[in-house]
Order: sequence, then structure tokens, then C-alpha cells
Amino acid sequence: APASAQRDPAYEAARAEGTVGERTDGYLALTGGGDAALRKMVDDINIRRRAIYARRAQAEGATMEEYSFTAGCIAIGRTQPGEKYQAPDGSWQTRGGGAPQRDARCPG
Amino acid sequence: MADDVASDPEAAALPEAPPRRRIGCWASLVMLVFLLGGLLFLWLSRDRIAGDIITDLLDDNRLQATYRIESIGPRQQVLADVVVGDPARPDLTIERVVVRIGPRLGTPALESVRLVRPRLYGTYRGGTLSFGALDPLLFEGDRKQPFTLPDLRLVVEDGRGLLVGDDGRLGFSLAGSGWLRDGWTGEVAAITPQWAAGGCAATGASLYGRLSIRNARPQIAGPLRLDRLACAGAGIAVANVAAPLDVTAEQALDGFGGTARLTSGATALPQVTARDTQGTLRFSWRKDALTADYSLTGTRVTAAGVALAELTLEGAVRTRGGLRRMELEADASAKGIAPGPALDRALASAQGTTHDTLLFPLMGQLRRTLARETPGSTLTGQLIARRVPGRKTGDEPTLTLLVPSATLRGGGGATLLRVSRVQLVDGGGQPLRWSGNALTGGDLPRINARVEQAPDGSLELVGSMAPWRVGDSSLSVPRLTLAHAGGGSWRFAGALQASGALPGGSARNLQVPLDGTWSRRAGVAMWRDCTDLRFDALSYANLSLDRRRLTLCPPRGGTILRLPAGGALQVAAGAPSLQVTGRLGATPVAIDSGPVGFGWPGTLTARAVTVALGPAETATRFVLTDLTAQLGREIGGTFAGTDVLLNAVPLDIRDGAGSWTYGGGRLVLADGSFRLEDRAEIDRFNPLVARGASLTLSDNRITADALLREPASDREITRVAIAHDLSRGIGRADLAVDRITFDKGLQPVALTPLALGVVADVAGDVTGNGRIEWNEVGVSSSGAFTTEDLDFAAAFGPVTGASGTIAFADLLGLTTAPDQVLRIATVNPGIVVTDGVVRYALKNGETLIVHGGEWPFFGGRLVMQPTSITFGVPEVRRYTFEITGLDAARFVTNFGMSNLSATGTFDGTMPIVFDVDGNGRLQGGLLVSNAPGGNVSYVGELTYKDLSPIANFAFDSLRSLNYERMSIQLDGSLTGEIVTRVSFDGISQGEGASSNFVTRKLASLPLRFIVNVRAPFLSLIGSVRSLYDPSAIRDPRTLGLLPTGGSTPSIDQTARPGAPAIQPSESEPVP
Amino acid sequence: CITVNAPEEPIVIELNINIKQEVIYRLAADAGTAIDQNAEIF
Repeated sequence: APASAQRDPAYEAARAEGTVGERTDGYLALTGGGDAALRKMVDDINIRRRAIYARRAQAEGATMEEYSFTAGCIAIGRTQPGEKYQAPDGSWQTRGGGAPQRDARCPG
Repeated sequence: MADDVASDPEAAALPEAPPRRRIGCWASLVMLVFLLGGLLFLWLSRDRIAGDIITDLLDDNRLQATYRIESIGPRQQVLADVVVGDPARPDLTIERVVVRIGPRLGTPALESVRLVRPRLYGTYRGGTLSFGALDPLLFEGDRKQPFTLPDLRLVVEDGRGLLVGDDGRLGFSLAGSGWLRDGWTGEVAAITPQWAAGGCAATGASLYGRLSIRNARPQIAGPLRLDRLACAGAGIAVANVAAPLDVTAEQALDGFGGTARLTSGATALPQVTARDTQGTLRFSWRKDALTADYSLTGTRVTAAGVALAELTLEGAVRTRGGLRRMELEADASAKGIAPGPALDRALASAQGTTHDTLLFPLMGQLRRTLARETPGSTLTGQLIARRVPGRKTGDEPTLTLLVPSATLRGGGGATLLRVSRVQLVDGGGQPLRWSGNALTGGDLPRINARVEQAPDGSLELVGSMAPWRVGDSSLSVPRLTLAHAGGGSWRFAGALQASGALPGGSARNLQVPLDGTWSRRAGVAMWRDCTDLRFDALSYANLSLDRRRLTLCPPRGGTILRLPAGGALQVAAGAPSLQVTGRLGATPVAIDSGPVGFGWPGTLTARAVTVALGPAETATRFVLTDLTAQLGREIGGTFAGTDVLLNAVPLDIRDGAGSWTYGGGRLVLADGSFRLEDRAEIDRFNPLVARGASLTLSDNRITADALLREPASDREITRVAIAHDLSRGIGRADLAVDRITFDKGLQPVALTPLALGVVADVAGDVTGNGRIEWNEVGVSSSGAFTTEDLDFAAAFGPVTGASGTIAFADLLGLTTAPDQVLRIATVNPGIVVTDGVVRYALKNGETLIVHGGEWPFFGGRLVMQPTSITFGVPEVRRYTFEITGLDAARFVTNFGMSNLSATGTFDGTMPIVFDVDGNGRLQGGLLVSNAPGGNVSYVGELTYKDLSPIANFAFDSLRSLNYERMSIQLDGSLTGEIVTRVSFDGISQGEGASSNFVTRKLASLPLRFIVNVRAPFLSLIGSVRSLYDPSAIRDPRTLGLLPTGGSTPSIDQTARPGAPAIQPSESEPVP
Repeated sequence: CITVNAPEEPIVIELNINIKQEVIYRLAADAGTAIDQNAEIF
């Protein structure tokens, strides 16, 4: 099933509205203000991403940073038009039709 | 209302029509007939005898008679075989008639007559008396002057007569002699086996009497006997009557009077029977008017169902115009009144239906009073009866019954009942009308009733009953009107006040208006529209309500109360709203309800009901949207939409529903389902649901138990048992967590929002228990929860295998006791550290105070300095770790670097700073080797050749290097790149290092060998391994990263400028 | 022979090894599957 089908509706809405965006380091972040509830939701998602990165990094003999950076590349690659992502220069961009701006080191 | 009968107009002279119905007094009839017979003889003998006086006489009166003259002498003439009337059926035969003429001056006058065996035959048919041929003589004679007896002597020997009636024959005989005008005496007898006249039939009647005439006034004295007298129409039947008479007629026979004593056997009058009667009668009949006064006593009398030992009537009777206009006055007095079994049976059955109501003791007292007062009770009273003929002929006569006053006095002398001015008017073309007052007294309920006759003829009773009190039951009817509403139904209205027992409860000073109808067919139907009900106290089972005024309305078109004839009581009422206060057992209760509807027997439904149990300030409030109940011996029903707000505990029960029963002082709620919510503004825990919960309220204590489940996963979270003392507002709840299993299906965030962003991906079981206690001061709660093997992801990285017990000093406040211990199998903040022990405390569920943590660390110990974390707040968190006794060898082997070995132990500190996003950085980490230093040696192949000579020298020396002192500086991101500055002091060539001239020379040089390794801490190890382990690197092409056949991209190595140099220690290098 | 007089200062040999290699390429596949398996948080 498409990723969005399983996402919590509030998370799905936040992505669609652009109040959250995919960071280059593989984590989710608030793009602007956002209330405590949204921040708690982002924290919750990041905790669960970190746990995966920790486990996978250890299994792959890589650092969590490298793993999360790689995941970031892929996640940004998969953003839907209208969703927000962080460009290599650190600024928040809105995904358009074409390919997103990604770090040179991002694979493929 | 006119008290006594309007004086009716004087009756007009009535034509002589014989009365259609003669009432009674056949005795006078017999005498009349007899006298006429005697008169006939006298009449015959009055003419002078000379020659055929008799024939002249006969001819004068057109009598057809035959006779044989036996002898005619100057002074005596004797006739024989006189036959008057049709010879075949003679009206009169006389064997011998001896007439004697007396010498009187002038014309001879009859002196005496002797009749020997005269036989008179007459008929009395259809009310007319006829002696056949003699009628003209007897009845048509001139009527001018009043009848006078002839002035002669008469001797009758064995006179006999026969009168044939409609269906009966009357034989009579007469003998006697004497001076007719004065001094005649004789014997008279009249016998009839069966005689009917005037609607009455007498059987076995006989009259023997001495007939004497004094002063021209005939007098009969003697016993009149009747076997049986029955007047079917009038409903009169008297058996074996014996009445010695003494009757004297007027000179002109136009009236008579006399006395009679009467005794009779079984007597039956309308509504009245007597075993026997006896009495005296004095009467006179003049000018068609009877005046008599009597005294009559019956024994073992039953009147209208009331048994009287003895009833005496004394009074007078006056009639005019025959019996048409009659007035009877009587003073009645009765003794030994026994209301007869019927009344007591009726009272007993009535009392039977009033079990456990206030009426029961009252009816009991009524029956006891009647039973006590009845023997020896006496009734005295006056009675006036008038019968007035209708104005026009053929009109109904008007019968008026008047009881000025009558008093029933009990055996004990107390006046039980006083009736006054009772008046009954029947006939005269109008419906029965009656009115009167009644007043009861003595120990009986004091009823004062007045019966009125409304002008339209409908009857109306107005009465009241003074408070009738027996023990604590009392009933009073301040006002009652009972009106006949036609068609056999009665309307009643008024007010009623009652105290005492009611079915299943009791009332004190219950005031209720009365408004309803009663009919034999439909029974009682009361309160057709909204009625105000008022009571000082009303209780049902042990729910007692305080003083209150309620408005109850009947169901549409119906009545509130119905008691069908012979059926069971039915009550159905509703109220738009109901506000009552009172007590449930000993617990104060206040009920405020929306529309309420109830039927008894039947159901009670109420909407929007709020029930507050307990003293106002600490009351537990039940808010129900819907309550239904089956009313019966045991009340029960269902409730829905119920919120229970325990005053003392910040937890609310919402949307409760289930069934409840109330009986024997216990309220039991069963199979209850509800939602438990935290009443705090920001919920500390999410709602839990319960099914099959139960609650019991009895003698002021609520006990409840429920199994709380997490709504989405429906998993059991905790069993809770609550005990709450309503009167003191003190209680406790015991929580038992048998097992909470966290997994994909259930996460802590489902239980408490506080966990969001703090822990996630929790897996493992938690067990424990808790207790919440509250009293008027406040709430305290505690609990202890244990896990054996819990994994979870936290802000600082995933934790596995956490175990330990967390003891909460304030469970609801999520504040633990100090110094909680948590064992952590592994935590991975970037570097996996195992077997940690963390001592911490949690405050208000927000602040985690870490007293300290300790991990075995490569043979040494990693100790975390105290710090505190505030959840949910993005903050920079600083942790300082102290390392002691790090065994370099263990460190190296642990990381799987098989071809590298190191010895020596290190101490140091690792300050880690976790930034807002939770990334940990090592800032100023320093590890310093302990004396006497150690050795680092590389045992693997060195494959990279293109390093610079110095690099080659460095790696060559790494092959085996003894150091006196090594210090490692670490800076960088735990999750990313760490810059490590390793500096060796006092180094010398260890065995195995390739020693050549240079190395030997250098060996003695104070060489500090600083290796800056800029590499991810983990990958430092990994990449080193990749140096010597090609398999650790995968061909980028296989990763699809490069177009096949492309050249490998260059790997840039950028040195990190300006790494801090470590000052060499001053120690002398040890070769 | 060459005498190397020992300088008062220890000879500081700094070897900066900055290893950041094509690890990212290596991890891409694994990261891809990790994202797929945990779609609800990516």
C-alpha cells in the first residue's frame, strides 16, 4: 500500500500542508511554527526513525549519521509534490514536479 | 331545601269510587259484612206486622222472596222457610222468623224478632259486596239521614252466612239476643280457609267474638286469627297472627274504633323480617279516615341486612280518604343490633385488599369497634312516613319518608351514628329524591355527611371525616362531595390527608385532592388532570423524601389512578420535571429529573436525571440521560448515558449504562459499561473503558469493581476495586495490573499522552499495582510497576531489555519516590552500551531526574553524572560520563579488531551534549592511560602502500608500540564523526615491531606520536577493518551507484585543520 | 652513520585520517528497504 495510506492522518495532513518537512539528515522537522502537539508528533516519529537508524547502522557497520543521511536522501527523493524538504543549503523547499535538490553524495 | 314535605293541596272531594286497593283492615270488612247481615234482619222486622207486612216489605223493596207463614197472632207472627232471592240459589233463607209486636201507644211497634237458623249468602267479587237480591234493600236505601239501628229486640239463633270471594269463601255465624239499640249481646264467628281481597290473601283466618251493642254502638271483642296473611304486591307476609280485637262501631256504622293486641309469627315486610312480633293497636276509623296508634315489637328482626335482637315501633298512623292519604309516625328503638355477617364479611374482604397500607389498621379498628359495640347496641329514632295521592287521578301517589333523627348507640354507650333530617320522597311523577345528614362518633371514624338533592334530581353527598387515627396510621377527609352523574356512575371530589403505611413504603401528612368517578361497572378512576400532591415525608423501601409539593399529570386522555371493579390497582402518572431531596438509607440524596413517567405495576422511565448521593459538599453525582425501572416487589431496570462524578477523586465515569436492581436497602448496578476519564484539564491518561462492571450501594457504602481496558486494543489494563463511604466521603481504589503487553497493538501513548515524543516502539510486559485513597482533606495515590524485559525507543536512542520496578509516591501525579532503579540491557545513543543501571526519579510525569547511571565499560565502569531531563521541551541536555578502568584490550577485542591488540587501562570523562534534535556530541572527551602504560600493536597486514613515508613510519611503529602514557581526546558527534587525538608518551618499540636502525635510534627519542583519526567513532573501527578486510567494502557498482564500467569516484580526504595538540608530558621516555 | 639528535620537542606526527567513504552508497539499498518497512513514519 502507498506509504501515505499507513501514515497517521495528522502526520499525513502535516506533510501535505508543509508544516513538517524531510531534513537532509534523515529526520523530520517543523518547517515553521507548529504547536506542542505537532512537535510531540515529530519527536515521536524521529524517536522511531532513530531507533531504526541505530539498529540498521549497527548491523551495517556504519554510523547512525551516515545511515540517517542516506535515509534522508531517499526520503527527500520520495517526497510528493507540495511536500516540504531541506535543500543542501539548509533552506526549506517545496517539492515540485521535477527532481528535488539533493546533496551530491546522495545516491542515484 | 324545604325541610318537610310541602303541604300538598287539599285533595278534592273524590267520587265514591270504591278504592282500587284496600290496604289491610280486612278485619273491619268482615265486621262490616256481618253488621249488614244483622242490619238486614232488623230492617225486616221494623215494619208493622199486620197482614202481610212482610209481603208489603218485600214488594216495597222489590225483594223476591217466598216464605211460609206459620202463624200470625196479634202479638206474634211466625214465618217459616223464608227464602229470598232466586229459590234455586237463595240469597237468604230463614227457618223460622218469630216476630213479636209490642203494645205501644198508637201504632203497634215491633218489639222483638227471633230468627231461627237464618242462612245468608253473598258474594264479594272484584271488590263489590253483593247479597244478590238483597242488594237494593241494603245498598240503595235513602241515604239522607245517618244509619240508625232499629229500636227492637233481636234474637238470632244459629245464624249463618256464606260469602264467596274472588278466590275464597268466608263462612260466618251469629247468635245472640238483646235490645238492639242497647244491651244486645251475642256470639259472632267468621271463618275462611282462604280469602283474597285487595291484593292480599289470608289463609286459615278466623274471628270469634262477643258482639254486643251498647248505646246503639255495636262492639265486637274476641280473637282474630290468621294462619298466614300475604300481600304479594306490598311484599307483606305474616304467619299465624293472633289478634284479640275489641272494636266498637259508631251508631251510624260510619266508623269504628277499638283496640287490638297483635301477636304474629314470622313476619316479612319490604326489607324487614321478624321472627315474631307482638304489639298493641288502638285505632278508629271515621269518615273514611283511620287514626291509630300502635306499639309493635318484633324479635330477631333483620332490616336492610342489619340484624336486630329486638325492634320496637311506637307511634301513630293517620289516613284520610280511605288509605289514600296516610301519615305514619313512629318512635323506633332497637336493641342488640348486629350488622349481620354480610357487613363484617364485606369489611373483612375490603380490609384484605389493604394489606400493608394505612387503611389496614384503620379497618381493623373499625371492625373491632363494631364487634365490640354491636352486642348491646341500641338504636333510637323518629320516623315519619307520608303517602299523598297524586293531584290527578291515576297519578302516582307520593311517598315521603322523614327521619328527623335517629341515634345508634353502641354497647358501651357511645353514640356510634346519628342520622338527622333524613328525607326520602318517592313518586309523584318525580325520580326518587332523598337527603339527610349522618354523623358517626365513638371510636368510629367521625364522618359528617350531608346528602343533598340537586334540583335536577341528581343526588349529591357532601361530607367530611375528621382525622381517624390508629397508632401512626391516620386518614382524614377534610372535604368530599359525591354526586350521582347518571348511568350508575358517581363523581367525587374533595381532599384527603393520610399518614401511615403505603404499599412498600409510608407517608406522613400526604395531602391529595380527590377528583374522580366511581361506578359499579367501571370501578374507581381518579385524577383526570394534573394534580398537586403534597407530603411532609414519603418513603419507599428506605428511600425517604423530605417535604415536597409535586405536580403529577395523567397519561393523555387517561386518569392517574384506576381501580377496576374487582381488578388490581393501577397507577400511571408523569411529571414534566421532578425535584426531590431526602435520604437513601442514611445517605442524603437529591434527585433532579427531567420528564418522569411511571406506572404501577409497570415501569418507571425518567430522562435527564441527576442524583446526588451524600452530603452536599462531598456528594457523588450521578447524571443519567435515561433511566427505566420495573416497579414491583423488587425494583430494577436499566440506566444509560450516566456520568458519575466522584467528588473526591479527579476521575469521572462517563456514558455509564447497565442494569440495576434495588431491594432490601441495596442498590446493585450490574453489567455496567462506562468510560473512565481524567478530570484534569490536560489529561494525564487517556480514557479507559470497562464492561461487566458492578457497583453496590448499601448502608451508605459504595463498593465497585471493574476491569479497565484500553478502548482501541481492548486489552486489559487494570482491575480496579473501589470502596467509598458516602457519609464521610472517605474511600480508596485498588488498582491491579496483572499484565500489560506493549507491542504493535498497544503503545504507552495510547494510555497516556505524556508518552508521546518521550518513548516509542515499546515492547514488553508491565505488571504492578496501585492505590488511590481520598478523604475530606484530599487525594493520595501510590503504585509500583515492574517490568522484566522492556524494549523501547527513547530520545537518546533505542533501549532493550530494561527491567526494574518504578515506585510512584504520587501515582496520579506521576511522581515517583526518589532513587528508582532501572536496569538496561542495552542502550544505543550511537554507541551500544550494555548492562546499564540507571537510578532516577520522575516528577509530575515531566521531569526525569537521573541520580546516576552505571555501565560496565570494557572492563571498567562508565558512570553517568546526575542530570535531569524535561520531557516535551526541546532543550539541550548535558550528560557527563566518567570512565574508570577501561581495559584497552577488551575495548579492541569487543570491536572485533582481531588483528589489533592493545593493553593498559584508561580513566577519563566523556561530556556528551544532546542537541535539541537529540543528536549527541562528545565535547572534550578525554581518556588517559593509567601507569604503567601499555602496548599497542598491529598484527595484520598493512595493505595500503601509497601512504607517505611518515605514515609508513607511523604504521610501522604501530606494529607494536609500548607507551608509558597514552591520552585520547575525543570530540565529535556520537552518531557521526568523532575526531580522536591519540598521543603516546614514553614510547618504545615493542616486540614484534620491525626494528631497524632507524627505529632503534628513534626508540630512545622522546617521541610523541599523535594520531588524529577523524572518523566516525564506529566506522573508525569499521574502516580500519576495511583497511585490512576488503569484504567490508562493497563494490559501488553492485550498489547501482555507478554506470557499469565507470571509474571509482575519488575519495577526498580532508584533514581537519587546527586540532588541538596535546602538551607532551614531562616524563622521561622509558625505552 | 646518521645521528638524529632528539629534538627537545617530541616529534609530533599527526596523521589525520578522515574516512568518509562510499559508505552512503553501501547503505542506500538497506535504507530503502528500512523506509519501505516502516512507511508509517517516513
